[in-house]
Amino acid sequence: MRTKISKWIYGNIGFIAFVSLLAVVYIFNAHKAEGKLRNIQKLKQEVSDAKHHYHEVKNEMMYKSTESQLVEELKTKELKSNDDVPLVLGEG
Amino acid sequence: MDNKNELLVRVYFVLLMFVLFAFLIIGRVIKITMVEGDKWRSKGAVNLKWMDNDVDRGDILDVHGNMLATSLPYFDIRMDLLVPSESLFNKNVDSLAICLARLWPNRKSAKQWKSELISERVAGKHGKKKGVSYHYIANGVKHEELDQLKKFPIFRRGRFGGGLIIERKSQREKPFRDIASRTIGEDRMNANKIGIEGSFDKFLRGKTNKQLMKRIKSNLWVPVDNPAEFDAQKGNDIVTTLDMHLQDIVQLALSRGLQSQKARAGTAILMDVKTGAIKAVSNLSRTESGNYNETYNYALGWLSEPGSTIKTASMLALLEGECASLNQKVQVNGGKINFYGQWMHDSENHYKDEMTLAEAFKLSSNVGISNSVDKCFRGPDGVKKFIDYFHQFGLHEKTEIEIEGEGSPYIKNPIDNKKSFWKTTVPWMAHGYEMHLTPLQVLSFYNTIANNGKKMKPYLVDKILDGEEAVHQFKPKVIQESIASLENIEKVQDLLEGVVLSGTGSRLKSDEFTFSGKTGTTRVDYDKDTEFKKYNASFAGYFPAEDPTYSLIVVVYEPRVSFYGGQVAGPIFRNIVEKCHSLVMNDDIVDVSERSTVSFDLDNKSSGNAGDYQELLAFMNVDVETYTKGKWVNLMPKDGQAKIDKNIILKNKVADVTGMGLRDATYILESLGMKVISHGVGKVHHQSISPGTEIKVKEIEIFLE
Repeated sequence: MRTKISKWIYGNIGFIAFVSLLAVVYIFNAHKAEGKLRNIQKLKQEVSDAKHHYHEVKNEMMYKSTESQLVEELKTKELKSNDDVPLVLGEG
Repeated sequence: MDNKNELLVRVYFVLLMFVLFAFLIIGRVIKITMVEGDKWRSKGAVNLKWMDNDVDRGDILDVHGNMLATSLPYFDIRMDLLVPSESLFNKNVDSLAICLARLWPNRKSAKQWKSELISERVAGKHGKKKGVSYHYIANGVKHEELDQLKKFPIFRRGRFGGGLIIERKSQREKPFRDIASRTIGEDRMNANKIGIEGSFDKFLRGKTNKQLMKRIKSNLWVPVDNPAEFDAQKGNDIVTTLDMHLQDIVQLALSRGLQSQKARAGTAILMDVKTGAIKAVSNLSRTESGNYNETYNYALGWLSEPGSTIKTASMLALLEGECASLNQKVQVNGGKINFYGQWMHDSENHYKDEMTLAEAFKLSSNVGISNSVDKCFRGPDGVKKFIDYFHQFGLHEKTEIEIEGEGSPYIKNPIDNKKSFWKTTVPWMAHGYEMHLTPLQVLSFYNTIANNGKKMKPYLVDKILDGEEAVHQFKPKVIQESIASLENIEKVQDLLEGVVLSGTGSRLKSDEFTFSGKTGTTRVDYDKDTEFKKYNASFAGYFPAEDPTYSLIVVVYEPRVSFYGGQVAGPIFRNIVEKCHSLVMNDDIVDVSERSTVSFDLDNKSSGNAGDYQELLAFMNVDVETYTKGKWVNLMPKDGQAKIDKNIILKNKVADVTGMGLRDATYILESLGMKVISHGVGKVHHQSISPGTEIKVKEIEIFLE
């Protein structure tokens, strides 16, 4: 019986090695995937942070560039809005 | 043989060991699953749970894509005071305190921060105080502040070295602050959502779904079934019809007007005549501190007696009923009349006994208009006819604007409101009393007049976006093809223009732009005897008078300084028209391109590239005498004309760059191999090395003025 088992093992050593290799690859792959997932999550967070930061700055900019805010801001710099009627100098 | 037996014994021994080990494992499995099963399962649940897939709420945008409302993250900052090591803490607590004090100058001084951090840490170490591992630093920290905070001493060691705890929250923010904020609305947790946020909540919110998530890191969760699918859907973006340029103009004009009148509140709505798209809505109420804030949506929600602005409808009814002509004389009796035992007064005495109907309208005589209406619509049939006209004009209908809270118009009719329908009702309705309308409903009527009788549905939302793609596009909607005959509408349009040219709005007229409209002055508490009479002043109309682009209404509630519509709401209206005019109307701009010559004058010498000058002068139609074909030239005035002269540039000699712009001057000098140092702005006034000298020193300074 013993010889039968060892014979079987000897006979299929290639297959067993292959299966073990697959197992190692599988484990390695799972690890790698999880690592990538983490990285993706991290990058996504960074992108969304950057995006929000951009929005925050842009929003502030938009508000400050409204006419009413500019008029207030420029009061101290002795600048005021032009009340003259627009003139056409030439047809583009 | 012995050897073989011994081998067998050993093999059996090993086998026994294996079997024992196997039983041990089986026993363990049974113990874990059966005996301790619940305990372990509950522990496992910590790493595995059903989570609401949190979705970013969509943004609200204006027509130009400016953000009106968006979700921005903010951070709550805590510190685990027990985490930093003794040496790290002691060494850096001073600089941390200074950094914190500098970041928030109005909160605590560096000294206060330091003593707070030290005493809390000490108290925590001795177990005297709980919560020091979650010590409050700040709430609502912005992204920019967080970036700085992360670089502070101690904090830069992170969660496990420095004890910095960052909690991310999301907050709805309106970048334009108070501007149109009531219309944009609020996304509130514990109260009804209002405005566009409320009405379009279902789109903005996006789809939330439950998902089974597993934990793969202390705060990293991924879905169990498909780990690649983290991405939650974002809610839809809503593009409104609001235009922030116009909105800013409207809000600024209204808030200045209200401040100068110390009014209780006010509203202004700007609408696109052809489509009914609302371009701007402003609602301001006075706060206790005397400032004005958007706290109530008057434009949509506030029902009140519209007053004289409704005379336009009465006038149209008179014309449609064919019982009055504009030149017909009407009795105004010096501004008072008794209808069925009730006195009616004009708000301004015109010292006349009679005037034409057109005059009565332009001067907003209550007596004149009501008298004509009373004569025209007498008896049960007459009354019914009058009310029917108001229905025909659509005054009894809600505008069905998208956002909630619109007030229902109250127009009496002799059948349903039998008990409150008196003989005096019609004359009083004729000048805007005994009825309730919202400012938007009044505006909608004026918009219809401006649009030659075609009634459009007012709307606030243009489209719903999914990413870049429009999933729903709202189109302008016609409610009624025509509310009255075009002939009569045109007569009323002329009358409204007349109000501004020669009526109650004549003080507002301008040479530069035109508009039409009607003033309204309404007593609010006419049935009460109070110390101060309360009025609402309004002005409704459209501009430009010919071929209107926008309709506009301004209502000022309870002004304190003056009360006439033409004096209180009128100037605000005019102000808005003036500003919008320069922004959107291009027709009336003075065109000088056809003039053959333009008088030419220059204060200083001007110098530069010949091609540039020729192009510029040709564009401005300036006659020019050219004496040269050189590349660099001087431009001089000569008898009101321009003269172009050659500017000679030689190799190895310093060029004359006076009169040039910095760009030209730098180009020329650096082509000659010099290094330019410039001062000031404008044109080159003088240069440090005089023109014509041999280039020996490489550096040249030029002074611009």
